[in-house]
Formats: sequence, structure tokens, C-alpha cells
Amino acid sequence: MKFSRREFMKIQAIASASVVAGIALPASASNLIASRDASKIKWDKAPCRFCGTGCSVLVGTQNGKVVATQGDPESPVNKGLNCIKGYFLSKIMYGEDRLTTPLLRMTNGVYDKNGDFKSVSWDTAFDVMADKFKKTLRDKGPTAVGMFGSGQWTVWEGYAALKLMKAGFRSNNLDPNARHCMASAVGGFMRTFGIDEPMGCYDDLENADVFVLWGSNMAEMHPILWSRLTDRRLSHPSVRVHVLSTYTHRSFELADNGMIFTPQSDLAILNFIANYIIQNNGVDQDFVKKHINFRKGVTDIGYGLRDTDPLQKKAKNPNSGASTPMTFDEFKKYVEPFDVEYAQKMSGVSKTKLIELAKVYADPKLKVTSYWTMGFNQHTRGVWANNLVYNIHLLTGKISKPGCGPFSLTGQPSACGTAREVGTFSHRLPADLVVTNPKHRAIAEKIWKLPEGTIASKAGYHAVEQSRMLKDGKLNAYWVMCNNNVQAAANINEEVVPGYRNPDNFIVVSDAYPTVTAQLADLILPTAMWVEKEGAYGNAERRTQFWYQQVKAPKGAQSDLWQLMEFAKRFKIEEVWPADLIAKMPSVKGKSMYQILFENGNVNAFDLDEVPKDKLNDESNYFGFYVQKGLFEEYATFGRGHGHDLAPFDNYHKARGLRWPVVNGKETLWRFREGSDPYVEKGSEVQFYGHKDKRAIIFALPYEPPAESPDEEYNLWLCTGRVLEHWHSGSLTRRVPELYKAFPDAVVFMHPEDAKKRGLRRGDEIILASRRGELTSRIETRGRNRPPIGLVFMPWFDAKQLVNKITLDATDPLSKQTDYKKCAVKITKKLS
Amino acid sequence: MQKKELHISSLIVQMRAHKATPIKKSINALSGAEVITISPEGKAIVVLEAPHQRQIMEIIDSINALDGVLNTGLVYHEFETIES
Repeated sequence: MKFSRREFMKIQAIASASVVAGIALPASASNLIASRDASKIKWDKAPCRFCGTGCSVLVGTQNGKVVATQGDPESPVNKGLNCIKGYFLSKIMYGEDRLTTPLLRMTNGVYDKNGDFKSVSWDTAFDVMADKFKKTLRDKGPTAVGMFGSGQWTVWEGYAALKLMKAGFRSNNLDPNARHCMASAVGGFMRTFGIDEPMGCYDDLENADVFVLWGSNMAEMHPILWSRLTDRRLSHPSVRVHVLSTYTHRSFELADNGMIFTPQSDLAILNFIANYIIQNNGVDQDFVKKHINFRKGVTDIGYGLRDTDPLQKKAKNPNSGASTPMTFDEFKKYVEPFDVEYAQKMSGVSKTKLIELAKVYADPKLKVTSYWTMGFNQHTRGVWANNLVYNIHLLTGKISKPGCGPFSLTGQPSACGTAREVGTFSHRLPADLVVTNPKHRAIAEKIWKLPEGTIASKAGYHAVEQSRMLKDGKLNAYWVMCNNNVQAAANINEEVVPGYRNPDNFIVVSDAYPTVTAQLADLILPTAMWVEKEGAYGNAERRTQFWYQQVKAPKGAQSDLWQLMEFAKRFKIEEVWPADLIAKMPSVKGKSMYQILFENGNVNAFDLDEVPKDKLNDESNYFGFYVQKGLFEEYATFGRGHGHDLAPFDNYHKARGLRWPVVNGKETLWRFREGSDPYVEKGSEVQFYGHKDKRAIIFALPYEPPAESPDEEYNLWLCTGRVLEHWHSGSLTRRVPELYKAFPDAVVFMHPEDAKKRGLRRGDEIILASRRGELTSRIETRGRNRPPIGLVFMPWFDAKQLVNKITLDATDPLSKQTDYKKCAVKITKKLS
Repeated sequence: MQKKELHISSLIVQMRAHKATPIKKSINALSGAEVITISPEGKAIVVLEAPHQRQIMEIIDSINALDGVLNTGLVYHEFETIES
């Protein structure tokens, strides 16, 4: 290679960076990416496979393989930038242990739960699997069949799964791993606003005067949004950043007011702020009068543990989300005891810092955006925490306008698009409909062209309950798709692994890699991933983004969508539905479940020739019609005209995503605000139209203690979470050598004083133990995460050190989301 | 002849502006890293050159660890196989 080529590469690199940075260069600043030799690498857009930010990347393919990715300069989300995980995206599909054949546990050539994995054909795999599902249906009925899905499913995969489970098998035991991630945010939105998902959008990042991070390490978990926030802070010196957490992390480096609080005391701080706002005339009286109702929530609601658990028995109102109306004056009185002394006592944060924080909300001149992730959501009072942060935005009217609003960030690329909007939860249907409402069921049955009464009226088992029911032998035919729940679920030794190994159960795991979960399955199905299929994701700001299939999957692997649809062919409707249901619609007689669900005139409405000639589309070619378009258009019927409007299918392939509701081709940036949201009537300023009276609710809710706190024996808090290099359980990132090497093994982050007290030094091997289990790890007293005295932090990506053997499966009683942030542990030196 | 790789990447590094001078010095001292420009607000364009992607990752780690560095974003990456 000549010197000039190297120089050329450098100039290209500099020029693209200057465009992205918005910094003028003395030399040519034109975007030279366009002038790259086009015959060498083919580029096409796709949203990133990892977090909920929804960055768009340009995927470079050559000879049928993804060889490069770069930030998409046309994307309004990441504006050409990539984080380290996104930078290595091209490598996630090419791990050495990629699965390419179904694997069934067998002894002497037949299925045996105690046998070893043997390679089988797809036919054999589906034969055995269909057999097990049919037997379960015959013996125990639909409630013994279940599925655990994902916020990483594409929109149509989630939708196909929803149809297969809730309409086909008539089981509501469908839940996504997103239950572990943002169920509390959903619960909070539904309770306060009556409609799910944030009202604001990422444009708030360029408009706010103050940012408050409530339990989110945005610098490491949402680095691209963090770069936009950092830009705002650096280019506008008056902008301020407040960061709250239970330990010091990278986001504190930008913090003007960093606060370390005692776990669970966020509830006290939030109520203190509400009180401070009222006491210091920060209430937007006009806004409150016009747009708000006040209600008092019931308390002592338990900890989402098994009903037999002593803590659960002790609770007065277990799992209750009931509330009664109250007045503003009653609310004022309710929060009065939450003064700064109380907040300081509970949280350990100084009065000065607490008041500095409260002031930014109370000052009518400041535009405030609040962000949170798992700090609020993985919380035994997660829905309450969400309600309480809405309270302070609603009291001050700082909501639904540029730079102002509460915003829950999501962890998965389609936690919003697939899990929430499609409704792959045990109680949900698309567009915020629920199975428990007869009118909602009727809407779904009509769109799906099914007899009345097809959908079961009782909510199914949610994520944590699925594990418990597997253990108890009540859930027996179980399909896990696109997630690694044995590593991700809490208290795995006591509540998860037993269910997988229960001899009554047949467990199927679809994955691209042999994860911990796959290894505990009875049947493993090899799966196509990301740009090996056509897809759609919905990000945290309601942006729906599409991509085309860009490479073929490795031979033998099939997409989740293909698996769901093809499996449905194995069932005659008489094998799944009772005679009286079939009698209501005789035309279904003799048909397969596949025909009823997917050849219903909607899903198969678009011909194969609508797939662009130069695009791959393996599923459509196999089934003989444009599968993704048919599924999307049928699904979109649920939300159009009801505040969840999605644009026509083809528009999304052209745009860099659109934020719903999309009405008359126009996306919505700030919901509930006149002029920005087409659903708000003229002259009304703001309408929280999720509730019938178009008002949002401020809830009076107290502080209640966590399910488990440190005591004399288990004398440390354990908080779990992620690190920059790895995404969730590490199924993908641990297969990228560069990322693996950057952070190979999990460590336990600990305060140096705590280490000294236990006779430990940095790097020492230790035993981390709770009442539920123990593991061996190493101590880290320096580095990016610095816990206070009394708390340790451990990431959960490492399959060799399963921190979820330690955690407690206590959940928020309303959202059923697990609290991974608080349990009691002890640490001792490992004796060699 | 042995095949070698040449990787070139560009980054945007956000930093506390008042620490720009020592940060620039430290980045330039890293093998394969060069600061092209720093804006007055504290946004720098950095180009990296390395024989292996792993070194790129290591340089990024070193930059992230510098006092005053707030965030690192990756923009561009290209590699060539060269014969030597």
C-alpha cells in the first residue's frame, strides 16, 4: 500500500468526524464517505442491535458478510456517532460458537431430558416439540403452555408470537424479558397518564437547562445520548447536570451536583421535592387546576414474592394499586412531613445538595428533563418511583414541551416497539389494550378474524411467575426466544433452574449462541439475527425504525419469525381449540393454526413482488407473500386513530425512523401538547388524553422500606448492573474479542475502607454470599465504579460468575418487575 | 511476505475545556493517536492508527481514563490489508 492511501484514509476519518462534531476544519470538510469505492463494500441502514437509544448505523456488507459498521450521518438520533458496542456490531454475528443446527437432548436416538444434546433436523425438532405441546394441551389445557420473549424481537416477531400464543394456543402466558427492564415505567405511565411511553423525545437534550439523572448511568449505558447531553452542557455554560445514584459512576464526571443516596431513599427525596415545590410557590397553579387530578394510593403492598412468603403474608394490601381521590390541599398536607431534614436523614445526601436539586424543579424559569433507567424501574416500589417523578413535573407544568419532561430510557432496542407497543406482556394486547377487558378482546378478535371468546380473559403468568410455575409443574411446555433468562432472572438457584430441570417440563430455547439458558434447555433452535432478516425496532422516544435483510443467516439458522410461523403449521385447529369455539366459526374447521393466524387475508395480503428486487427476504420467499408487511399492516390497525398511529409500512424503509403517533405523514415530538400532538384539541393547551377526562394524576405515595436490607451478618448492599463494553448478559458482546478483552471477567466493586475492614486487597479472590447462594469473584477498589461504604456493585454479564444466584426475586407488586438493585450480602476472603 | 493490517479510526472526544491542554498532550503521547483539533467548548477530533483493532480499543480506554475526559464517540473506521 502506498503512503498516499494511508493519508487518504486519514483524511476521510478526519472529515467524517468533523462533520459529525460540527467543527469546521481548515482543510476540505466535505463528507468523503460518499466517495468511497462503492464496488467494494455495499452500505445499507439498520438500527443498532443493542440498547434502547436506537442509533442508526450503516452496515457494510461484502461477499455476503457484514464487514463494517459506522454511525449513520443521516440519523437524527446519533448523527453519525457510534459507541464502542456499536463500533463492533459487525462482529456479533460471527462468534465461533454460532449455532447452526437444532440440538435435542437424546439417549439412544430418542428424546430424553437427561440425555446429551445431539444434532437433529428442523423436521425432527418440530415433530418432538409439537408432540410435547399437544400433550400438554390435552392433559392440562392452554394455561400449561407458555413463552418467554424479548424486547430484542423485531416488531413482527413479537406480533407473530402474540398471535400464536394468545389467539392460537389461547394462552396468555406470554411475557418479554422487558418485564425485567421497564415494566415499572409502563405501570407508572399507565397509572399517571393512562397511556404508555414518554411524552417527550431526544430533542429535549438540545433544549433543557437542567438534566437530572435518577438512577441511570447514562455515560456508560446510553453513551450516544450522553454525548448529546455533554454537548449541551459544554456549549451552554449555564446548563446544569444533577446525578443521583447509590454509587459513584462515570456520569458523575459531568455532574454539577452529584448525590450518593441510601438505596430506596429516592422515594423520600422525590416526596421532599414535591413538598419543597409547594412550600416555595413553585406550583403552576393554572396548569394544576386545568390538567391534574389528585389521588391517594394504598400502601403496604408487599414485595411481589410468593404468596407463602412471610413478607408477603405480612402486607396489608398485597399487590394493590387502588387509590382514592383527594384534593390539592390534602396532597399538600400529605407531603409536608417530607422536609429536608427527613430527606437528609433517609438518604444521607447533604441538605445543601438536596435543596439545590429541589430548586431547579421549583424555579419556573428553568426547563428540566429527568432521566432514569433501572434505578427506578428495578425497584420494589418502581411504579411508585415513576409516579413520584411525574408528580414533580406535573406540579410545575414542566412536561410535554421542549426541554421539559420526565423520560424513562430503555435498555433494549425494541422494548418500546415490540414489548410495549405490540403488547407481548401476559396482560396485554397491541396499542395498550388488555386481555382482561372484554371490549379490548373483541377488538383483537375482530381484527384477527377469530370467533368471539378466542382470547382468554385472565392475565397469564408474568416473567417471575413463569419461573415459579415451571418449578411448581404448572407450566410445562415452554418456549424461550431471543433472551438469556437463566442468567438474567433473579434468585436462579432457588426459582429458575429447578423449573428448567423439572422432569414434567419441556423447554425450548431459540438463540444464536449456546447461552446459559440454551444449555439448560431440552431443545435448542438455532436462530438468525439482526440484519440476517428484515426487521423493525421501536426506540425509547417512540421512533419506529426498519431495516432490510442484508446477509443470509448461516445455513441451518432460521429467524424467530420463521420459527413461529412454521411451528404453527404443525397444529390442526381441532388440536388446540375446543369444539364449541370452532362451532362459532365453522369456516376454520380442518384448517391449520398457521392458516387461521397467518393466511387470514390480512397477513398474506401483500404479494412477493412487493419485496424490492435487490433485497433479500428469506421468510417472504419461503412463505410466498410479503410476510413482514402483512404482519405490520395488520398490527398497525390496532393503533391507527387511537393515539398510537403508525405510518404505512413502506414509509419506514425510506425514513430514518418516525415517532408515533404519525398522523397525515407527520411524526409527533411532544405528546399531549397542542400544536405538537394532533390528538390535542384546539384551545386546550394540554390534554392528557390517556384518561377519559384528559387529566393526569398526581399520586400521594409514601416511603416504604425495601424487601431486604443489610443486617449484622449480611452487612452490605448489593447492586447489580452493566458496564459499557457489555450488553446485558453478554451473549453477544462476549463474542467480540475486543470487547471481551476490554472487560473479560466480572469483578465486585467495593469501597477501599470496606475492603480493609475485611482484610482484603484489590484483586483478592472473594466469596460473595447472600441467603440464597454464593459465588467466587475478585475485588476491585478502583476504577470506573466507586461504591460508598456499605455497598458493593457487580455487573451481571459474566456467565462464569452468575450474580443472580445471589439476588432476591422480590418484585414491584404492581409492575412485577424484579428489584436487582437491593439485597443483603456478605463478602469474605476465599481461602485457597 | 507477511500480511499486515492498518486500522484508521476517528473519534470525537468531549472534555472539560480548561483541561484541554494537558489532555491534548496526553493523547498525542499515546502511540498511534493524534489530536487534530479541539473546539473552544472542549470537543476534539482524534485520529487513531494501529496495526490491530485491539490496539484501537486500548487507546480508547486510555483516553477515557484521562482526567477531564467526559465522553468518547466513534465516527469512522476503515482497515486495509498491506503487504510488507
